Amino acid sequence: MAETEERRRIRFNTALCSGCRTCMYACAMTHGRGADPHAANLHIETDVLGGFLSEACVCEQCDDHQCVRSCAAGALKLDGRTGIYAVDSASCRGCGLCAIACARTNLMPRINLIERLGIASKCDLCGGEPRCVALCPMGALECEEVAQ
Amino acid sequence: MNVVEKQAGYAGKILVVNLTSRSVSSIETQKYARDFIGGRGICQKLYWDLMPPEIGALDPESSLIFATGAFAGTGVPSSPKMFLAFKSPATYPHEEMFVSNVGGRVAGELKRAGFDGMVITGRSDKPVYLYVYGEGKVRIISAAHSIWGLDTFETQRELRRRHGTDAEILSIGPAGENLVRESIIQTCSNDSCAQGGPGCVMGSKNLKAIVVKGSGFIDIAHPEDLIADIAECNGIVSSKLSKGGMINPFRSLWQGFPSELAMEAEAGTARMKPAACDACGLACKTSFKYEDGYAAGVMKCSIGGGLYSKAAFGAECGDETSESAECDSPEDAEMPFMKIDRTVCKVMGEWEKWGINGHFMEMYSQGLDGLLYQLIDAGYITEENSGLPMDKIGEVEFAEALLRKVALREGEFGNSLAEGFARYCEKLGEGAMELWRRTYYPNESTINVDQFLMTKDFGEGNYADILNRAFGIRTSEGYAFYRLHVPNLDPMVFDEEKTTEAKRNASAYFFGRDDVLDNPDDPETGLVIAHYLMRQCMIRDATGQCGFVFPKMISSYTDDYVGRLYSARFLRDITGAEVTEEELADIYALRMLSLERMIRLREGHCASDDRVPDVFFEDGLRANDTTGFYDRQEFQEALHGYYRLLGWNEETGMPSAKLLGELGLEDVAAYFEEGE
Repeated sequence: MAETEERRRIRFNTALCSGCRTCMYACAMTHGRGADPHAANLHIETDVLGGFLSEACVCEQCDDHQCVRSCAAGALKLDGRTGIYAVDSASCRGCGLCAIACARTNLMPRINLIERLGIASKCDLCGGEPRCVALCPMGALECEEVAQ
Repeated sequence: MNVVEKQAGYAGKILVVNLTSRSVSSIETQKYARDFIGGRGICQKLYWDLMPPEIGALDPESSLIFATGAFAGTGVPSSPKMFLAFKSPATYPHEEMFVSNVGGRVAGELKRAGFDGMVITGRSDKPVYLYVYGEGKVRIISAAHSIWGLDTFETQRELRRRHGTDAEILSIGPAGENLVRESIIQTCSNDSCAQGGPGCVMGSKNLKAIVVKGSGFIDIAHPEDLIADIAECNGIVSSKLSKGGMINPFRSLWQGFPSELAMEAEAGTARMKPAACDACGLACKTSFKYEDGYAAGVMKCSIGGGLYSKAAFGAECGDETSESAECDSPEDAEMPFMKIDRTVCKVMGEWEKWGINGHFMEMYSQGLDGLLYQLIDAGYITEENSGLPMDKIGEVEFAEALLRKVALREGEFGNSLAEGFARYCEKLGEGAMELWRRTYYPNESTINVDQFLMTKDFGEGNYADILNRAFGIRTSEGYAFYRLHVPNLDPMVFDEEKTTEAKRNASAYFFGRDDVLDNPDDPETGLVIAHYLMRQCMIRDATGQCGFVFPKMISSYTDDYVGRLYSARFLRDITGAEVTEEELADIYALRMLSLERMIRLREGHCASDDRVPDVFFEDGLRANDTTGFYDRQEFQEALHGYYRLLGWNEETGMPSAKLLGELGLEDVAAYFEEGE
């Protein structure tokens, strides 16, 4: 399972984010889940009552791959184009073990469970050109190289 | 799984709740959406069907109608609106239909909870709140013991504690509970539906809050096209910003303008952060927080209007034409120095906390020429009869005392002013009434001349503006100056040649000839502009686009400075319906305008009620002419021309039965024929 050289990930700048969720709409629609920000691969949580501070829950494409190891269904598969692991929703059973495994290494889990569809979801970089980055009107999302 | 076929872009149902019988039912959205698209359009038709004129605003039978804009919750930029229609307790002399709206995230959430709208009627015997959740589930929950009596912020915190932080909440404050006529409904993302007093209607139903938490999704007819169009819109904004080094006039409304708050943010004693409604790329709101805990909240465009006004700019303003946004102190401010300081920030939170309309109190601008201060100057309101600390005018203490008295109806003064300025002045006598008539629009107790003054500051006070203000229901139907105005952080606005060119381009684009925008203060061309803008406002309100963003005839974002129309494109992307911009403006908008007119006529509104405050006819409110004033005769003729342009009766302002028939409003026409 060799990874390609130019593995990338999405970087979030909380100071620029306005909490508008355009990224979440774009993500859900791109992945064929209709207009539903809760069904996106990334989640921006904004504290609207307490100063609009935002936190992003988006896969950091780490080297650990705890999520991959925890998945009994083998639903997390390497995408040759991007060099990162993506959820194959046809194989995913929605058990949520990947999110638990992720939470063990990350303060905030980077994997979302979409209740409505019964699947786990994580950022797959849209196969190379992330829509959220392209559509973010505030410039709060960027693509960056993962340091090897 | 059972697949339910539904029209793309809509949830498919409108919720009907009767709080008297505690029964819940629903109406098919398509019955209304086909002709009225959504938002304000659906509100109007439901209002016509459900609210016969004899029902009073605060009667149990009165309906509070919500309808989401067709674009809400789909990711379309700057289109988060949900509309409300209700009989307003605040209009004067009689209660009339009013429409208000709210942004934030609640509209999209309601759609995902399975409803395109809500009709709330009846009156609960004890305080309750409504919980709309899952996909089409509804519960009526008691609010009697722990929630009734809380302010809006406390209510939202408590309800989010119970139902989760992703729940969207509409709630009233103590003012709404006490039936203060100018009460607002506040959302948890700090947006409010304020105009016309919807909070008072909600309070009369003993309904403290509506909690919305959906688990569904909105089907999109052409998702790839929709994403491409969103990218195009956001791209226009972003590329312009990076190219010209221009400050985003919306985004930086608060952070870019010099103010005491901005200075504190620079010094690190306060924090400012852009904040946006659902899927809006402009982020006109700015969240702020003083590090010492003095105040926190969100600056909004509606408050921006007030802060733009003359009174808000201190005497030390300096040159208003510089493009520099840098300044160290009020004294060397080259930009207009906005009066956003600790007092304003604190006071703003106070209205929201009590749930009172900020426009009503005229506190936002600290403008001492508002009606409240005129009444104080004229001796109608004194320290003795009101209990207000008169030596603290302009300070937090004064505002706190005033808002508390009104919200809780404390004493004779608080109880009387809670009825609104018009009814309060009526009680005070003819002298006070004269002051009211001079400064306020009829039937719009919240809109006063102060707001027009700012249009004059922009050099764009004009016929297009006053005609739509006289004629329309909502403030945002006016603002023609703004629709024709390049936000003043764009360097272009200082280039006269370019400004002229932009107006020529826009005129040719929208009217097919290049001289219409040259002089909007001419009654004839003003009328053409007003007519165009009013129809676009209807489309905007049906689709849920934001009035701060659309319609803009001149835009700083496009290369030719001409604002663009996206309504038909987005409508097709979302619903799959093929419709042109012309059809939207000539058929759908005219249908909405005519129906709204018929509703108002049914409630006793007449042509003579389409007027502007008397002050327009007496002193120099005209732009570019400080001594001029509007002529009554000329104004009346322009108004008659307006009716004619819409195909209505020139004298009475009533749409003809033939026109109503053509628009598919036969049932509306029949009501009047039977009546005669």
